[in-house]
Amino acid sequence: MGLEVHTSMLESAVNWARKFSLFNYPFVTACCGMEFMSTAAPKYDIARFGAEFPRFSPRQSDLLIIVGTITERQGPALRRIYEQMCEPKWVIAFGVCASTGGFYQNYSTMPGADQVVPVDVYIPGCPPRPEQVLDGLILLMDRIQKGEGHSQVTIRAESAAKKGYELPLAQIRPLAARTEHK
Amino acid sequence: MSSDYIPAALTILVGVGFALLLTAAAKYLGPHRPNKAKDYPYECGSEVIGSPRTRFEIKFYQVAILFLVFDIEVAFLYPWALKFRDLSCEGPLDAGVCSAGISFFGIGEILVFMAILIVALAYVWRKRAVGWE
Amino acid sequence: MAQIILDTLIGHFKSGEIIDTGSQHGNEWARVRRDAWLAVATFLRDDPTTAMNMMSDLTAVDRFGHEPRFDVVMHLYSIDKKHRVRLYGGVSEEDPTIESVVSLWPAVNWFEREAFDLYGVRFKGHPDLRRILMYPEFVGHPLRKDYPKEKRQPLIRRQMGKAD
Repeated sequence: MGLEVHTSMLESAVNWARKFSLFNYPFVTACCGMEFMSTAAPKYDIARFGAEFPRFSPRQSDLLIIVGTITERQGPALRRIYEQMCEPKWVIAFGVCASTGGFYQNYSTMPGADQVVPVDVYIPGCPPRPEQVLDGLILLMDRIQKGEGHSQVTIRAESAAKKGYELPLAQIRPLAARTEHK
Repeated sequence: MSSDYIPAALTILVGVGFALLLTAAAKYLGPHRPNKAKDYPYECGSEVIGSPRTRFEIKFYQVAILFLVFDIEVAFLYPWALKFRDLSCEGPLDAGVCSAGISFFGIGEILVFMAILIVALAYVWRKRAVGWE
Repeated sequence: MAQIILDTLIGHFKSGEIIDTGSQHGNEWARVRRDAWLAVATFLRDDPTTAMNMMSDLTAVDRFGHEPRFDVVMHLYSIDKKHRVRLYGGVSEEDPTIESVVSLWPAVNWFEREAFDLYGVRFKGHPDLRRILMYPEFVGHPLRKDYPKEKRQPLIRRQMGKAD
């Protein structure tokens, strides 16, 4: 059971190019933004992985990084931004508030950004250290290479449906970033 | 008809052609997955408030036009500067360095050119168009 | 430290508008009758002895189980005289209205909107009383003590499992 992930040579090459040239849209709402900035700064340097270009427009980006707490009121805005991005697109939930709602359990906080957008990688931490962030990014890059991102699976399912056969959408379980540094 | 212009024409052709090729490739080879949100204007996720067709202040246009005029003036100074030495050189050219001569004609002509534009600058200055407000 | 404010108030308002006064940890407070809210605030702003020209904060407290249920709490500060005072205005649950002080300090506009949004206290004379922190579709006033602590009213949720 599961998705047969047969990536052809061309698809592998294209995924390789995609994973090393991620244009991120940092949807920063709260304190985790500080750690995102630290990760992008020279000491922990997210540019090593090719992901240094924050495009503050969903039309020019393919990675939506949800940094910080999402309130219920922000739900429609976040959903619309996700829909305005072009496929293939990936989503990282940065911090515990974006992953599960964090320490908030009240009338206004959405319990995790995955209530409105499908998340590929969750990075726990309050806020996560830059090493954790880079770990999560590497995890995402592995999934991009294998073609296991939500968006990539959806694209393959749609093209299969168009050709006439059914491709079961596998339960791709998002892998949490490892919290201990090996 | 000189063949000096053929490289320039080729450059233009390659440049324009490459741009057109990429646009065509994106249109015909790229995926096409439209949805309602992609056609909607981007306003950080919220509903669009107000119209984008607002009036801009005239000072932006003013600054641009003035810059253009005086930039072209400076651009005209460059060829003059290059030719000034040839104009004014009377003595022998000793390894590319001219030892004597200064062409009053050259200086005079460029001063006339600049005087016309300085009058224009003075007018613009007095009318307070060089400032930001 | 700001006892002079309380003395001026008690000296000026003689027909029971000032229900109670006190001083707690160096902060002076006065409890004002609801229908004298605007009058007391106007007096505090205009009187030269007190000269409270800055509205520092306005909020509400839900004293669930006490009568009156809500307390509108306003902090006033005088930039010239450097003294501050806290005013309490008791508002009942059946008629949760009180006069708005927007005409005295325009900055109180959003504070009163917040008190309305989270507690349901209405301000008479407020030019634009609508929700400010919660979204318009939200039902209820969340900081009231009888609003269930973990009740959510989601605006949008995605369809899990289907292609997004």
